[in-house]
Amino acid sequence: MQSFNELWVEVDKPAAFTLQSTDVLHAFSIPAMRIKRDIVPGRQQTAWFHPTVVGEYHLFCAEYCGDDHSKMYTKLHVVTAEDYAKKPWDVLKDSTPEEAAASGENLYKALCISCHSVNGTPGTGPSWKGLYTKQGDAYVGRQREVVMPDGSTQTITVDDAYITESIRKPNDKKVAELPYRANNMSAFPDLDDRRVNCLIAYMKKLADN
Amino acid sequence: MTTHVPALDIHTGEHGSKPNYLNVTKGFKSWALTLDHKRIGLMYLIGVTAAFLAGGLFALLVRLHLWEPHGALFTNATYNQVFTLHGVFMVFMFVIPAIPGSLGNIVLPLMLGTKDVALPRLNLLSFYLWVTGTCLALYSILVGGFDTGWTFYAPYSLYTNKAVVSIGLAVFVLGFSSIFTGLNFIVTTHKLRAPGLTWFRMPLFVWAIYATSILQVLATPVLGITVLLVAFERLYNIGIFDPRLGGDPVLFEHFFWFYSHPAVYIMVLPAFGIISELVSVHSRKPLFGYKLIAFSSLAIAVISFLVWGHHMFTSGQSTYAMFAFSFLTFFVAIPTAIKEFSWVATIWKGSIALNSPMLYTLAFLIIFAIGGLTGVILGALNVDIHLHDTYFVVAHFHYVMMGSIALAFFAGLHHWWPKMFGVMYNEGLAKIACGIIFVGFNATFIPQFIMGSRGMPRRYATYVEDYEIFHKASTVGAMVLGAGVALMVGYLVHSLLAGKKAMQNQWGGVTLDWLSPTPPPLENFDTPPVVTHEVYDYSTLDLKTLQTPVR
Repeated sequence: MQSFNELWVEVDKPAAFTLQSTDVLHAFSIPAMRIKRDIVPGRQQTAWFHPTVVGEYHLFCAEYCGDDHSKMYTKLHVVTAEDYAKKPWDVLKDSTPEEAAASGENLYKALCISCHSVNGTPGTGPSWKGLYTKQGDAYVGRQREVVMPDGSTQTITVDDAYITESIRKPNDKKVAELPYRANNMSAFPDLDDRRVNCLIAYMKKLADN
Repeated sequence: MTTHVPALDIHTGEHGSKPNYLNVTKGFKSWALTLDHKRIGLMYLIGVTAAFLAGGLFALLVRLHLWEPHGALFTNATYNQVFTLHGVFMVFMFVIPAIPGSLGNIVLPLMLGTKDVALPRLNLLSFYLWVTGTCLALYSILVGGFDTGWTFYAPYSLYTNKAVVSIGLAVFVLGFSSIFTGLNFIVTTHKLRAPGLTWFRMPLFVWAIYATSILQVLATPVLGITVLLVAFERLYNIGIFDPRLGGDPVLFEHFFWFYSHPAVYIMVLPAFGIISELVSVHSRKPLFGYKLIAFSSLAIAVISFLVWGHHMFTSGQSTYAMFAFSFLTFFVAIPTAIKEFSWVATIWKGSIALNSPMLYTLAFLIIFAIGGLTGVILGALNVDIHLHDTYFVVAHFHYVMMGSIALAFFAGLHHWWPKMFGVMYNEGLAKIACGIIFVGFNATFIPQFIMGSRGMPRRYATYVEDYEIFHKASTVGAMVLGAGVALMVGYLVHSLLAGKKAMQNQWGGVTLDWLSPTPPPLENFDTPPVVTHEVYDYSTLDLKTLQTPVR
């Protein structure tokens, strides 16, 4: 199961995890469950616990991992079997553009924040600020020089289709500017259309006027 | 003793007007190129005190930042640099060299009744290596800083774009300073003891420094090699620690802690030595369990090499190895408790003088008991899984590093201050400062024990609001602690400028350091001493020297 934001487990049922890191050391730590396990790149670690009380708990990264170590945080929800069957994690509010942008921001914080800024600061990947500009009521994408799969460069206009492609197959048309062309982004091929659209709604909220 | 030669062939008091080591020569070169152990010790003292004040300043910045859950002062990236600076300065430039470099250098040859250390030029080289290492660390700050924590864990230390290579080089050079000091003290202890000063007549400070020196010589090279490997890995991508190249990050942890656990005892054993001296002198009573304390230092030195894995209980090392490491860790408690109980038993029924060095010593005994016992809690495998990398660990090692080692250093500084400079600080202020430091210290770190046991992870620039009250309490405590230290520095500096004259033997010590003239002349003793009585034999105390002011 891919859970983008928070961790949900059933009460009175052991929960076991395989932990993997693609960059540096982290640690999977849930103080309420008395569990802590370093996540070591290059090997698989396992951890398990047996939740007995329904509730909401902290899930920390406990091994120093860089600038935003203390932001590497989420919640653990221990719920009854009945509630678990309702898939409470699978709520996505996107009925209005505002709701979609808010959901997009949550997704951003869970998945994208470590490499992309939203205030124009360059990161491992390009900032999301000003990907679109707002012209009247319409959002128009910026022009970007990108590297095509065959290695040639080409100028394209950022649009919803390009963003969608950049999430699912991010390394096909990388931004040509350094350092972005030298960095690879993890792909999210399983992120469904609704969620991708939420992310795009959030990017549009960050548009320049 | 069976011989009946005169107790000690040493002149104290007002004979002649021989210059002492402070005023025998003047000028920059006479200090910068000195081979005198006391002058080198004083230069160390100035250096490590500066490092301590800098590290303390970083600590106060860390605490102020954590006043607010979202961080009050810095960006996360800057915070990470500040706490790393605090750790690196305190560990490598203060705690490791502080006591051996300053008080060890000044007092050890005096206690052995010798003119100097065995290798005076090597001693000067050690000091300049310390200076070089410190300059390299300052250089690293200028060229981008470092944000790895003082532990330099791979692979983060391999990927971060900060000045890891130059700070690694700094640690490497500081390591050599430490090794050379250790080597020097081992040779001095073996070869230069005064006639009649048998091994079991050596003061326990000498035993402690001796055990420390063995650790310095055996363990520090491993750290040197490890930081060099990190530097090579960064520069040449060899594949030792980097999992992308087939290396193993856990191997780094093994190497690092193989040094850094014994290093804990490199830091704490000299502090034990100071406390052993002070409880005896200020209780005017021979030490209880002299031989046990001496051997327990050696036992700690041996056991310390077998327990490094207890820093890695969540790292994914073999479960069976963890059983063994946890089991062996409990053994450290035995020699440590022998010391603690022996000190308390020494005070029992002693003629206790609550001088400021004794107050610092008593503060040490209380704080070290807490620091030591929480170490046993952390050594228990299952409990440590929960407490590892939380503020509980932070509080535990500050009870040992700051509360025990720094306080023992302060105690020793107050004890030997009149010996070193021939002046006395303001005793009233010293007692007040000791009280402020004790209260401030506990107010800083008791909240950290509580929030740590509730899961607050360490090295966090921001935190969830559950822990806010504990962080606020801790920050207030740190400010009190800072004020106490500032007061201490203030009256100590003031005493150098306008302090009243100390007595020849300010506290009534009977070890050889107190039987040389105060402050000591260039080669320490007017006539080479011969020891004819047991150590801490207060029946030999010449009460006249307690009333005779320095020349």
